[in-house]
This record gives sequence, C-alpha cells and structure tokens, in this order.
Amino acid sequence: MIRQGTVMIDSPAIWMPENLADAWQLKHRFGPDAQYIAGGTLMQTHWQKGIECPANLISLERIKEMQGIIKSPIHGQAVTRIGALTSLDVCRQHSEIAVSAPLLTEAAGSIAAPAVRNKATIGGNIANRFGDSIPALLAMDASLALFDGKEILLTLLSDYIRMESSIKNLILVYVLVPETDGVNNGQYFYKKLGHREAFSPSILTVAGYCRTSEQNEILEIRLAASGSTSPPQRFIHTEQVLNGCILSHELLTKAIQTIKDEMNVNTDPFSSAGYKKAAAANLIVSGIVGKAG
Amino acid sequence: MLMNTSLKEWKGKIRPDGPGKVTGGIKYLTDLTFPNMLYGKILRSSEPHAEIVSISTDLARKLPGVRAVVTYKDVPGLNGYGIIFPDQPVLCKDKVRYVGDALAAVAADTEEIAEKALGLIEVNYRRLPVIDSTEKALEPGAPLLHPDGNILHRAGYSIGNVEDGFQKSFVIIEETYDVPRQMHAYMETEGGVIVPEPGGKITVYAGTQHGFKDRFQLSRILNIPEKDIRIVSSPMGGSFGGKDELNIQPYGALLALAANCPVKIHQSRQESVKAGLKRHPMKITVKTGADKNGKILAHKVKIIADTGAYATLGPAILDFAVEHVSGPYKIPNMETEGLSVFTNNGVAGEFRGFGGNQITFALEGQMDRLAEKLQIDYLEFRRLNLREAEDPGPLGQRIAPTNGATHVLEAIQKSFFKRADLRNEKGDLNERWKARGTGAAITMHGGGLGAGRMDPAGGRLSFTKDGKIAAAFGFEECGQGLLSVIETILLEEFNCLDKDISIVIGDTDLVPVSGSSTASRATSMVWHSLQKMKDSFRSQMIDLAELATGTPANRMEMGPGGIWLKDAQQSGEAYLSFADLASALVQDRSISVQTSFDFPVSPDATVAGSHFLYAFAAVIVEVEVDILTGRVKVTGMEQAVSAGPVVSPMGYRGQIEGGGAMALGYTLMEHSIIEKGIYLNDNFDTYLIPTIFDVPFEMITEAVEELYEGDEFGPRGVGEIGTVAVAPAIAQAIYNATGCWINKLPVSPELILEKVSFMEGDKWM
Repeated sequence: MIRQGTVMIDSPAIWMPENLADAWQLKHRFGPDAQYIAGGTLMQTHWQKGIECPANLISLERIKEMQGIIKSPIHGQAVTRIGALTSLDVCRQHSEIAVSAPLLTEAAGSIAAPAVRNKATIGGNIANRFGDSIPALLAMDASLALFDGKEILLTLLSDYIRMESSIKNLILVYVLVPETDGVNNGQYFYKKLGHREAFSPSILTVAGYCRTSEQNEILEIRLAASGSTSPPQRFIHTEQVLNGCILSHELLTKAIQTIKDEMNVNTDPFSSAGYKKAAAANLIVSGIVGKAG
Repeated sequence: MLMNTSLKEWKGKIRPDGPGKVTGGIKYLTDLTFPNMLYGKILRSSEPHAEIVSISTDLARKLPGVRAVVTYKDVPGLNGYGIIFPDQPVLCKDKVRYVGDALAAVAADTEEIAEKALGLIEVNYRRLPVIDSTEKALEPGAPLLHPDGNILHRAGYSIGNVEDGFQKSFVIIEETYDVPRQMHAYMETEGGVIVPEPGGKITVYAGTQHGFKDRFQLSRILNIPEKDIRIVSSPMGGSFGGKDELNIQPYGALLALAANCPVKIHQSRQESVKAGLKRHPMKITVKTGADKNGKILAHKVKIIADTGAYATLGPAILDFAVEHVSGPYKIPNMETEGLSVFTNNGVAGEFRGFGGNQITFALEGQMDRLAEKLQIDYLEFRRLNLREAEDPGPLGQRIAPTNGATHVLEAIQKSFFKRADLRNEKGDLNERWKARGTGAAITMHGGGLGAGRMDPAGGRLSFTKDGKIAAAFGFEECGQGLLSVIETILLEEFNCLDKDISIVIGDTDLVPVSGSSTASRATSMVWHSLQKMKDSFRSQMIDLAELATGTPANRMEMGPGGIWLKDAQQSGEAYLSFADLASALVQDRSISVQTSFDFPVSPDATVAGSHFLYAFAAVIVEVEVDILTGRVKVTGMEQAVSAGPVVSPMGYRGQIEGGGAMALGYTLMEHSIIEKGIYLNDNFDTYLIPTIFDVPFEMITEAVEELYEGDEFGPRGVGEIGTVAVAPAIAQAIYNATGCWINKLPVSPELILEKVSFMEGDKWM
C-alpha cells in the first residue's frame, strides 16, 4: 500500500520560555518532539510541503538576550551586536545598521517579501543555513554568539557554516558585525541572483570585501556565496590566490577559474551547477572590479 | 501606463465590481457558508500511471466527523467528464493516468477531519510504466493510455506544394521550438459550495466559464435532469481558461447528495497544481523558405502537443494552433501536421491564447531568422508578407475583411522609430555588464469557437417592476471586467444612468443561454445581443410611456433616469421617471426582449474550427540582458491592438497589460516541471510568476479602433490577444541584444550565458 499524505489535526504545544536556560531545558525535555521557533516563516513552508510539525514548538520570542541592536566595542574594535530575534525588516531599515553594516541592509532587502521580512529573523536566516544574509555576514567577517546550555560561546560565522549539524541545538543568541571601516579603501559588494526580480529563492547569492592599496594591491579579501539549494561557503583558496596580488585583467581571469573550481554547488531542477559556478564567478569578479573597473 | 484611444472621457469610469474587489468587500463563491455545511476533500492519485488493485474506505468512514465518502461506486450516472468528450473519470475505478486523478472524496465536519480521512483511505496500486514524454507515447509498442491509443487528435492543413516552394527558395530556415507547461495561477483556486435542495435538486455555487455546460455535464454524471441543477458561477477570482472544464463540482455534488448537506470544497494550491489544467507544452518543428526579395514561398510545420492524460479541450487547441500556423502572412505553399498526444504528464487544456501563443512563438521566430538571413529589416520583412484586407483566412476560408494586420504593424513601426530616438538620447546605454535590445512581433487571433462548433450566443433585456433596465447574460465574470462591458454598452445605447440598470449574470436559473465566456467572445456577443434587442426594447418602453402619459410615442425618447420629451427644454429632470413608468406595468403587461443567435462563422469554411472574426496585435519590447548572469529584464512593452471599437478602456488596457505580464512570465520564468509524471514545483515558492518588479514600468496600449469599411461586427474581445505575441518579441529583443537565438521557453539564462562571450574585445579592467 502506498499511503498518501498525513496531516496533524492537533495543534502543537507552544512554549514561551523567558530566558535561554529555560528554552534549553525545554528542548532537552522533549528532544526530537520539539523545535525552536522564532519568526517561523521558513518552517511554515516546510509544514506546507508535508514535513511534520513537531508536537512542541519552543518560541524564542520572549528571550531578552536575543533582542535589540547595540554598538559595543570588543577587543578594541567597534562591533554592532544584533539580537537574533531582530526581524529582517528591522535589519533593512535600521539606521545604525545602515551605517555600520550596509551590506546587511542590502542583503535583508533582497530576502523574500515585506510580509515575510516583518516576521522572519536574522537568527533564523542564519540558523537555517541557506539564508541570503549569510554571504553578506561572511564578507563582513561576522561572528555568532551561541548558547550551549551553560554559557555563550563566540564563533566566527565562517567556522559555524563548516560545523556539522550537531550544533543545530545551540541557540543563536546574537550576531556580531565588526564595523565597516570606510576610510581604508575597502569595498563591499552583494549580489543575489533569483529566477525573478524580487521574492525569489536564490539561485546564488554572492558577497565580498576587497581592500586594496593605492597601487591596486589586494591587502585583504573575503569572498562568499550561497544559494537556496547550495550551502554557504567562503572561497578561502581564491582569497589566498588573490591576496597580495596586483589587480589586473589576467589575475581576475584566473580568479574566475579558481572560483569555479572551489565552488561547491549542485544541479537542481531549475539551474545546473555549471551555470551557478559561471554566474557566481562573474558576479564576484565584477564585484571585486567594482568602481575600479 | 498610457492608453491611446479616441474615446470619450466618461468611458474611463470605474468598473462596477472594482471597489469590492480591491477592498476585499466582495464575496466570492469560495467565501460562502451555509448552515450545516460540511467540508469536502478529494483523494488524488499519488501515482502518475497505475492500475488500481483496491480502494478501501472502511477506516475513513469510521472516523468521527466523517459524513460521506464516495468512490466510483457512488457515481449514479456517467463516470466521466470532458467538454469535448467525457474520457476523464470522475472517480477512477481501475486505472489512474496522472497524479491529479481522483479516487475518492470525503465530506466531514471540518476540513482537518476530511483531510485526515483521506489519509485513512487505502489504495493499492500496481504501477505501470510512466509515459512522461510525447516521444515515449509515440514509440511503437508504448503502453496505451486510452483504448484508441496515445494520439488524442490529428489536425493538418495543406495548400500548394511545399517542396516546390523550398526548391524555389533562396533561404531556408529550419528550427524546432519548444514551449513549456504554463499554469494559470489564478489567485482563487478551484472551489465552491454545492447545496442539496428539496426535491432532489442541487445548486452549485462554483466558478466556471460556462454555467450551462457545467449543468449539462453534471446532469450526465449525477443522472438528474438539467432543470434540477442550478449553477451560480460568478464572480470568480481568475480563470484564464483553467476553470472552464469541471473541477471540484462533481465531487461536491456527489458528497452533498450523499450527506444531504451543503458541501464546500476549496482546493489548496498544491491540490490545484496537481489536478488543474495547464497550457499545452508543444514542440514545433518548422521549415520556412523565402525568395531573395523576402517573399515567403513555403512553410512546413509539425506540431506535437503534450496533452497529458485526458482530452478536455485538447483537440480544439491543436486545431487552433494549426489554423494559426501562418498568422497574418500570405504563404502560397504550406503543409501542417499536428498531433496531440496523451502522456501521464498532468492534463493540458484551455489557456488564454488557446494554442495561438505556442504557434506564434514558432512563426515569429522563423520570421526573425529569415529577415536576418536576408538582411532585411524585420518589420519590413513582415510587411512584405502581410495579408491584405480582403485576402482569405489562414485556412482558405472567407473572413470578415480587415486591415488589422497592416494597422498594428504600422503603429508599432512608428513606435519603433520613436524608440530608436529615445534610445539614442539615453546616457546609460554603455553601462557595463548590460546588453540592451528591442524586438517586435505581430499576431492574428481568431475569436469565437469556430466553424462547425456549437457556439450559441444571446441575452435578455427586460424592464423590471422596480423601474430598472435589466440585462441578463449567461456569461461569467472571471476578473475580465464583464460587468463594466455590459454597463458601458447599456449606458451608451439607452443614454441612461448607472442607477437605471441592473445586470444579472452567472446563474443558470436567471439568465438566457449566451455561450461560454471564452475565446474572446463575451464582449463581442454582449454588443451583438444588444444590437439585436435595443430597437425592440426601446420601442416597447416608449409605447408603455405613451400608454402611461398619453403623449405620442414619437415625441419621446429614453434618457437619464427615465423618458424624456424630445422637443422640450432639457430641464434636468426626466418627463417620466423609470419608476413611474414601471407602475404602468399592470398585470399582464411586461417588457422583455430576448435574442439568441450564433457567433458569426465563415460562410465557406471547410476546416472545423476555422474562424471568421480576427483581432490583431503587434508588440514591441525592450530588454536588458545581464551578461554576467544571462538574466533578462523587460524594460518596456508596447502593444498595438486592432479589435474594433473599445468598449471599456480600463478593461481593455487591463486585458492587454495583464496579458502582457502573463506572457512575460511564460517567456522568462514559468514552467510547471514534471519529472516521471510528478510535478516538481507544486507551489508558488518554486513556480514563479512575475511580480510588479518584473513587469516593465512603461507599458503602453494603443487601440486601433478603425474597422474595415462596411464591417458590422463591432468590438472584438481582447481577453487573449495581449498574451499572444509577447514571447517572440522578447526572444527577438534578446537576439538583438546578445546575438543569441531563443528557441525554447522559458528563456534560459544559462543558455544566454553560455553563448554570450562578453570578454570578446572587453577586459575585466
């Protein structure tokens, strides 16, 4: 017998813990029968597709540590701390973020549609591991604060995306974004490629940061990409190849190939891996060229 | 958002159903509730092709809250439906042929219980090989999907001698065009409420494009007389052809009769995707030859349409495509062969444009390639081959003489030159990583169902006891603005006010037969009906006024709010209000005029489905191609349309702009992908339609209202024509921008990126 579809008639229990420790305990109590939820916009689409909603949903929305946007220096560097519950729309509109992390403003504006952005959170966008904010945050060298049941650990986002799913149960508390330094000739870029102009899953999203000397020598570079069916990645090898070199047509032509070689993407029913690689390489290189081109 | 028309300002008034629709105040049929109403759900096949070994509903019936479960055993009449012939089972008995096939239906106290009950129905299948392409279906020895084989329909047309034509040709282009399965994507999915009435009757509140046809089909299924079935079918939240065929009605009716309670069914988007119709994917192989001077000499076409599991309107759509193979061009030698082929790929059926969009993409693609090879301007190449006013139709039949083709081509030619000037003025043309291009295409599109098909029309005008001029038509409002059309024509004919009229549509108990609200025919047939009824109605009204007042009829006329004296000063008030006139309607006196007639057809058509009345459109678009990614953005679109006088300017523009946006989606992004008989994109998160950001800010509609001398056929409908020629115009614009020919839709950025070598002569820095 091929059984066709199942539907849960009973609504899940919603838990509203007030702090991180309580949320953690609830998750441990229910194990696989529970899931954390913030905006719920992505989970809702999963339920629509027939993925069963667990019996318990642990809402994180009352947890104070996960809220708010503040500027605080860490190790002498100006950092913007963005609570994981901050909605994407707030990320898009917040004046502080627009100044200190404009790439995040741009990325947030490219995600979904206004109604979704009002509910969806930056934490959820990162924790689902396919969010379009991730390449932007990688380019900005962001870190994450994760709660492991006892304490809050700081991890570089570029390390987080390489970790196994065992860290899934950690609670993402806030994001730390080092302040963009506007005086050192650095340049950021962010580009999302979808199947339509707006409200589209990402075929691929790229972002980067490149700082050069007056002689066009690359002093610092970070390149990243992701997509709705491709996990986020930093192009560490390409960065190494480019670092310390003088920007030139030949160098960038070489970078095109390095990016294609390094990029880890799959073919899906809508786009081939080859296309994603070619388009990502073009977008990244055009981003590096930027105004210099 | 400009509209060039000669119309008077007052015709731009807001449509009567506009505010309700925009504010959400209007109740659609899927919004209705009734006392004791149950919720219905339909169990659809999980298998694209399988034998049914058994269906067990025992567990579902035992679930508390379940009030009725029906399977094929519970269909009292014919277990089949289909507008042309009923080959689609209402509830499958021994075989399923696509993933939307229905196996059982459940009515329960709540939707959740009904859904749970579906999960308790056990179906045992024996899987059969899935025929997931027309190629597989046509292989010798392929499993047969229907007793008569895998070919639903063949159609063809020949004239002259194509081989001879190719011999004489200076250039020949051969190409295969591949067009996708588009979804209607109406906002309101299929749904409604079916209410059992005393005496074994039922009322069906569910959207359709032809209430009387639904009544006929349901009568056959339920085995109850047509007169015992009432279909209330307007307004609908969109249809575009997708709701013309039966959808949830038979299941709702079977359940309502079984449970003796009203039953509501409203399909989810996923259910709609699975069960609903789609536009026919087609592969069109074309060989076209022209002489040195640019005259087309021969055109040979083979069309293979993937019609999916059942017939519905598949045969007529293929006929339409075959008819429109040569479009508005004169071609002396032609040979067309069309096949509509059964597969396990969903069900393809009626969709705005009706096969015209597919064939026009192929035809106009050939025109562009020939023009390029001959080094002739592509608009000039079209002009060289254009039909003249009194030429026969594309199947050799007599048609209403028309200069439409010339008019729209000239209009777009003028615009093209204007645009060239504008382009030269723009400063950002050399923006890096962008290539820009302009393209144009034209089309000719038949209205009505065509020769040899039952295509009745009609309407009724009456004067009610409360003093209203009541117009009744068997047409449906599916978003196209029908009420506005009827209102405008009434106001114009009788010089009366909004408040003087009432309109009844979409209720088989209250309206006369008008035929279907399809095939761009409703506006045209409303106008024809009123031409036939207006004089009789007007004279009866004046006679009644004479009776009521004693004033001679020849001194009076109809006007705002009532009857006016012709020779008196227009003091601002009617001589006799309509309300007062109505009081003269004593007992046996009534005013009611009814007409019934057929849609005009060609007097000498020999091929079934040939048309007599045609509309024309020319489209010009501008695109911007991102050469880093191959993505295409349409930045401007203008359509010139020749379809006779404009009745409702807002509705006209809405149809052309909306049609343009829908066709833009067809061209650039929409494709219901089916793999091994299963839909891969089953919701709007993966089946993407254009948003406002994809639609060009600049959209212009130019209405060419002039008709050929002596043409008495009035306004033609424009419900479809705005969708037909957009794809080839975009394809050509892409070619002009990048040198990449497009022969497959939706346009693949991947293909463009492969072909565009932007580094040639260019450097990263």
